[in-house]
Amino acid sequence: MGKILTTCPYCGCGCGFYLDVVDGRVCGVTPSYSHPISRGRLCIKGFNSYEFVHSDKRLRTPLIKKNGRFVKTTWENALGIVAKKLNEIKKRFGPDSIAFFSSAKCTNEENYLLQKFARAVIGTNNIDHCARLCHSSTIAGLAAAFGSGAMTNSIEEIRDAEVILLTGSNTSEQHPLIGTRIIEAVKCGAKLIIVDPREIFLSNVAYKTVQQRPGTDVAWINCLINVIIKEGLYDRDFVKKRCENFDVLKKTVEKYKPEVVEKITGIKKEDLIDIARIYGKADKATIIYSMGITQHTTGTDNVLSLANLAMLTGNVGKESTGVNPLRGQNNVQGACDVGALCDVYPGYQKVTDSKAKSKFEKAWKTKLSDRIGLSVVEIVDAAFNGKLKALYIMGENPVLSDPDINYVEKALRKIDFLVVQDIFMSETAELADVVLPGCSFAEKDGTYTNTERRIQLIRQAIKPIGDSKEDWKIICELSVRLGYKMGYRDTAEIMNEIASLTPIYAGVSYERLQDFGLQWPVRDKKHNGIRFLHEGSFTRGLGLFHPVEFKEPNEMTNSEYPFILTTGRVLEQWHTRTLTGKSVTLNREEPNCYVEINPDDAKSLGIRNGSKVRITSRRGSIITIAKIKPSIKAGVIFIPFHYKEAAANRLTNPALDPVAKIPEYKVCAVRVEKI
Amino acid sequence: MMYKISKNKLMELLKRLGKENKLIAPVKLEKDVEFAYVENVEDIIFDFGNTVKPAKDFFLPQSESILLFTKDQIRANIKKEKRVLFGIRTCDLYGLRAMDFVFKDTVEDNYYLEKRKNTIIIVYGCSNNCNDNAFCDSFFGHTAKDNFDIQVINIDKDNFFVEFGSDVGKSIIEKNISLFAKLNKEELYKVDKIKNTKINKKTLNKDLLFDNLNKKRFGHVDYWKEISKTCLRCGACTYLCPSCFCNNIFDNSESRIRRWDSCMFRGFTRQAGGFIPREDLFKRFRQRIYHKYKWHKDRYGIDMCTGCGRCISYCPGLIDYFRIIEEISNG
Repeated sequence: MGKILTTCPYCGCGCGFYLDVVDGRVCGVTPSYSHPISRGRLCIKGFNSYEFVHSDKRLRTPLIKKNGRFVKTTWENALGIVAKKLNEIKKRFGPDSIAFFSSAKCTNEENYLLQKFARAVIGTNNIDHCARLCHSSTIAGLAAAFGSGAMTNSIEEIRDAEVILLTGSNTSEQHPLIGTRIIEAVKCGAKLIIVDPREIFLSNVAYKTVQQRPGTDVAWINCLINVIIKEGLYDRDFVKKRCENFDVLKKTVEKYKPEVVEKITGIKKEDLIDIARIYGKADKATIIYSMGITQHTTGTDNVLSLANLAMLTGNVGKESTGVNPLRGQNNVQGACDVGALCDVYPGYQKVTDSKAKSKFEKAWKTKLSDRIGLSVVEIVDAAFNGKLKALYIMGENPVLSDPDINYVEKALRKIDFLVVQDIFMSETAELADVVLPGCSFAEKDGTYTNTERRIQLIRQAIKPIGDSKEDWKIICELSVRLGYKMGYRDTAEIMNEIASLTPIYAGVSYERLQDFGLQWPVRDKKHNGIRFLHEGSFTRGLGLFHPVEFKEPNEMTNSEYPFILTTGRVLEQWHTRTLTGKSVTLNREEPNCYVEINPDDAKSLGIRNGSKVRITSRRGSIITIAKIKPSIKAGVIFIPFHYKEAAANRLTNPALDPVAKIPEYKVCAVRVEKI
Repeated sequence: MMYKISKNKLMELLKRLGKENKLIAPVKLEKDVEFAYVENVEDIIFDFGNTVKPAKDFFLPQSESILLFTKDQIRANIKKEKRVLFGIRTCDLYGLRAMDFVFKDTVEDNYYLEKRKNTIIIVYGCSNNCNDNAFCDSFFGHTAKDNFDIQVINIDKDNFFVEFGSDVGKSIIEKNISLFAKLNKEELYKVDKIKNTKINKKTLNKDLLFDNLNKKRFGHVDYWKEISKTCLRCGACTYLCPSCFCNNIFDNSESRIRRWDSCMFRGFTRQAGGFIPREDLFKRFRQRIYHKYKWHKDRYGIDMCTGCGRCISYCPGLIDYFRIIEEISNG
């Protein structure tokens, strides 16, 4: 039995474990005791991460669509068709008529190659990926406030925080091993404060859980700032020496008094004051957040507010503090780092920056476009409007994961040429003209970067299944057919190229990653990475306070649509269930969709536990089963977004944050009817 | 009879056994020490705490194909390869023992039993406490009293005490007698001391625990809710337990697969119509404690827990199992 050390393909915790291989098949998982994050522990997904690898439903050969049905074909033929069509469309309609969705599940090397392909071979910056839909507001907000858009501190440090302000993150369900650190902190005496429209599992150990109306985060955060300033609890020294623009912030928050904010958010004023005092008085307080903060039309504002709060109290740039966005996917941090975003090259160097452009033109030996590309939702719009002629999707399933999927499906059907590279026939792949079989984390080498900026290796345990190929090889073979040679011997070579062009990865090489990886920035070949950022000075120099005003969500409730729908996850399913739906143990836990309804709301609607209900928004309608839960705030309902049979995203609102272009998944207006 | 063997000669013995048997032992993987099939006896690690994954994986694998489907037949996939398992600790050994009863109960499960039959067990009796969470002395002890072919116990840097516990073990020693030496009085005394000195940091009265897991305590809902409130339903306590055997069976197009399952999962007892008898987490948590410390013993007369401590060490919810069962045993 071989045991190969690798990194989990599911969430951004980045746990390490060994894949057990017997007779060429992956048949189990052995936890790694020495791994810094997992330490011998795993969650149910980690333990069963091998389940989907040998599924019957794995794509084993390239497919092309003939007369509405998929026909098996050879790589020669499939890649030939893709190259020919992309070339034709590029010549006829221009490079910007083609767009790419990269994959937060694929490796850094693969994401780097796809954005290089889009930019150097096709000539467009229309490359983006699902980070747009989850933490683009984090990147925008923290880059503006601190100069760097990543989790400021490390997972291990959470344990020693005195106060944890947890908001918009159901941590034990989405990042279980980070949930472990929170539990550990509480056991050591830390106060856990949760601000979330739902009482979550971690509320079991919280000092206090307060439930705000979804989309009112700027209000309660500004209120905390108001109270902290009023009671003199802020870190005067830090504010004076390390930050700028304090006076503007002070003026802005004056009107966010507790009694006013109580009316806006639904959080009692006593609780607001209590939380402000606890956070303000703590020596080491940390903010941990996720989708509940980011997925709003005010997502960037929400993040800026949290940054304000942390800077105000000197809780950045030292251990066990910080502003900590929990990145969801196993490699969404990495996919961003290596430039699979429409407005930046690898290392967050802007495509509109002429110096950066020259650097990449020189390295890639070709002219590049300086036009910011389309982001994920904009790409769908362009498809709908007929402006987009070709779309190449690697490892993403927008037909289920984008907002307003009725519209997404219509849009994708309009595209002249759709290519999907994936390991299963996802709902998006069903619509494709050509399907290219990539392979899973168990079948290739590469690196993933987890939420705490830790770049870790994945190691090939078995050869690609059937006739599937490593995703990076597919891109290389496609590239050569379009006249641009990508002749990498192995993924280590690709990483060397990434390191040469990406300052935060400068000192990274596979040899240096052997000891459970390195946390960027890795400045050079002698530097060992950094655990927490902004020590001594922020990446941009001084931390910038931003005055942020509360704005209502895009879609408010009314008499026709009286409930707020908020969406989220369950522990055992992962996103659109492309993987977990094929995993026997995982899928069995929560195989069906449901809607959480508050008991009072259920009573007035005549709904019981298990009642069939219809949920309708202005965009679509689904039928699912009700679960009565006192833990959800009255007036709010919750649906996990995983299930195509009752897809929550048929209902969600594609309204975007103007800066980050992230959709407002967390708030839209619906009505609930018993059927 | 009792013998002594040097480390080098022990490795030679394992090398010899490895010629006709597949050798399984704790080896250094990329960063950790875990059980694996051994190519080179030099890779075997002797002195370390304990593995994370228990040795049960080699008898009841995490995932195994038990039936193979081809176009015209269904074939049972019973592995009969001859193996030697070296380095299994006392805790994992008695975990197997607890499972033996289950796999012989009513229907003989040959997928498991054939592996047991065809595996020579060389148990590594511990001389030092492996970690703070172990409480093996409260159950079967840190060295084995029975159920092995050969037991080795590390008596000093280079030497191991050896004894056989079966005819198979006796025969192996006799066939390779030149590798072994006699123990002197001092060494015998040392072995005796190792066997009889309790080494754990934690101890528990298992009989009191058994008695106190009664119907009355079962009904203390608030208590069970309180102690399970950080359980993250990861399955580790069952997956990594040397004696947990629950499994799920399902088919794909190529085979019927048996896979580790856990009573801590909601779906474990989901029935037709979606009804789940133990829908609440605390009910599953309570069930596990009762099964582990009472019901298995009621049924088979043997303790199920062997005090390895993995459920404590690797729980991501940081639930202190030991504190719980200690509390219960103290009433």
